[in-house]
Amino acid sequence: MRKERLLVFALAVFLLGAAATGFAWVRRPAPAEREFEITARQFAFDPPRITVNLGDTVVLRVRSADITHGVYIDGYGIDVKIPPQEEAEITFVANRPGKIRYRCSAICGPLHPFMVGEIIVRPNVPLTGSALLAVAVGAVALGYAWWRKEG
Amino acid sequence: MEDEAVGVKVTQVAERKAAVAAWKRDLLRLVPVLRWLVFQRWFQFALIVPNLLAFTIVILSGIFGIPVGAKNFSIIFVWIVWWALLIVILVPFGARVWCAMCPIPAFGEWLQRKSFVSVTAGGVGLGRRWPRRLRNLWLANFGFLTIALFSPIVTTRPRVTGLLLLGLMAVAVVAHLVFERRAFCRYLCPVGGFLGLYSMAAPVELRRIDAEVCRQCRFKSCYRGSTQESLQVGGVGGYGCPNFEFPGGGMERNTYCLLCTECVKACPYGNITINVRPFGTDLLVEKGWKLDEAFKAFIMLGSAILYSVIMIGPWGTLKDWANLGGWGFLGYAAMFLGSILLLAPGLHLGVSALLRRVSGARSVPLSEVFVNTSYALVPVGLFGWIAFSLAFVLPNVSYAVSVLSDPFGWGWDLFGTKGYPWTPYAPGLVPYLQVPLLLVGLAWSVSAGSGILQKTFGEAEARRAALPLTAYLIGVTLVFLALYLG
Repeated sequence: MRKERLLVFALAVFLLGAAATGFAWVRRPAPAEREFEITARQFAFDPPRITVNLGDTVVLRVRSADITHGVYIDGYGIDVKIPPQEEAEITFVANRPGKIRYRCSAICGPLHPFMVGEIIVRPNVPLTGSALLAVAVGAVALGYAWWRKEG
Repeated sequence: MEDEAVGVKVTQVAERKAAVAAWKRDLLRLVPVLRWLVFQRWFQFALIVPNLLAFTIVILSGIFGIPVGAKNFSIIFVWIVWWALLIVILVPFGARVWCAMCPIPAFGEWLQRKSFVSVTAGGVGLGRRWPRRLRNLWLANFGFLTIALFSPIVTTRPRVTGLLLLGLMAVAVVAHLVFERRAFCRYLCPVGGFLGLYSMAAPVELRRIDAEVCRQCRFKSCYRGSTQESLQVGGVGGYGCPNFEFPGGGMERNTYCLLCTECVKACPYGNITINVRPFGTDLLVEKGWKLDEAFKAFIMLGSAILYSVIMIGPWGTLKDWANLGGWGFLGYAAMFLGSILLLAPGLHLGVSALLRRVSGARSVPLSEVFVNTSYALVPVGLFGWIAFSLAFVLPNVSYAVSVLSDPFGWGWDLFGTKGYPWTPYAPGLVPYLQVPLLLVGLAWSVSAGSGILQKTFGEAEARRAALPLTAYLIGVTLVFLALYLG
């Protein structure tokens, strides 16, 4: 009985979450052009995180405030170098939902490998989907552990 | 061959039907080449020497090479290549096999034994016993936490990395000269502590084969080392366990086994072997569940979460603080130590109280619930570390190609690869690798947690407590998911 209740609960959480995600997906805003001013300095981008909607055309104007930095956008193959006090304009279409990391691509000092910025593309289906999966996996693992003991 | 004094019929491992559980397989029988290697006295020496060479280059390049981490062998090979191998492959699949080849205690051990390979009767050093009060992981925990606190410095400054490794080697030499066996590896090594914790999850183990043979054995060579008498019965000659374990006495966990295989060589009956087994077998072994190991679990899990915030997160202020940024460092240190030493154990204590209450097993002390259930955090912590490591290893491992040709950053081009450009590997795929890893860790933790609860409370009570424990583990996984995807 307890096992059934657990499964019903997990299923309810999963379905509710899936419905909410589906709703957010269907009701997502129409794509637009979004511009952002970003400052690169050792060892961060400011603002550290920006949020756009799926399908938006994103224009990043990145200015280096100190030494030469770079912007490499994970999964988009974009790599631009920005000399000190100069600005680079990067344009791309955010065509994948979830978190996009971009990172400095010009060695700029000790913490260079950790100089990253984030672009959140909404609806963040990978996050909600994986969170729902975590609930489901936890419930299934527990159900399996109980079933195994009964067996 | 028969040893009548103990009445034990002695046969070789290869000929014997291994008396191990059906779900284990005797690796030394399955892989004769491995068996042959393990029985060679030079085996461990041969494993150590290449690593010693690499560590020598690490130390020299760290101290004398270019101070730019991405162009220096020490940073790239220690914190990206070695670290990735260790946490993604060696520990999850090979337990503490790294310890068998680790060059850090090598000089100390060679001095102590006055030998590189062969078994000698006497060596150099005072041979004192390690203080009883310190026979735990607290010093190793302290060492790890100190290095972890300064890791944004240690992992990015070649000179600090070089001096750290040199310092660890020096401490190891002193420890070997003052104390018996490998006291450094057992009680001091900051890496060994977490290797021990996570090696419980690995699918290999070194264990005795037949408990009865060990019970009747009068030599106890696996602990005391070979003697002329034991060698007349069998074995190729080996030291007693350098890490103070007693394999023949019923060692049931990987935690403190260095896989040096001295006991395999020393056993006159060929009664110690290396098994392959299901992942995570040791997590349900009650013997040895202790508070110092529980804290190791919090330290590791907490570090993985905090590094995910500080190092691969986008927040520059935190990085500045962690990078010894003035007074901000104090704030960072308070956050780092407070989260690991107070917040994580405090949260776990709260969960333990809840589990105890829900289970109805009030007779079980809260401290016991606290310690026991901390072992359920091992898989989720290990997979959290693997997921975190992928996030910086895949984008940065390509530096290794150019650094290989120019380890000191002096303009050399030894293998013609100096000009190899920085190439992030599969950067867009990292989250899609992290999610399944975290989910596997979660499923495994829930499964282990369920078994741990049963051993702690009993079956009916464990069932009641399993749901809140699962919710807690899901919560930990959601924190990682939020950091990597949110």
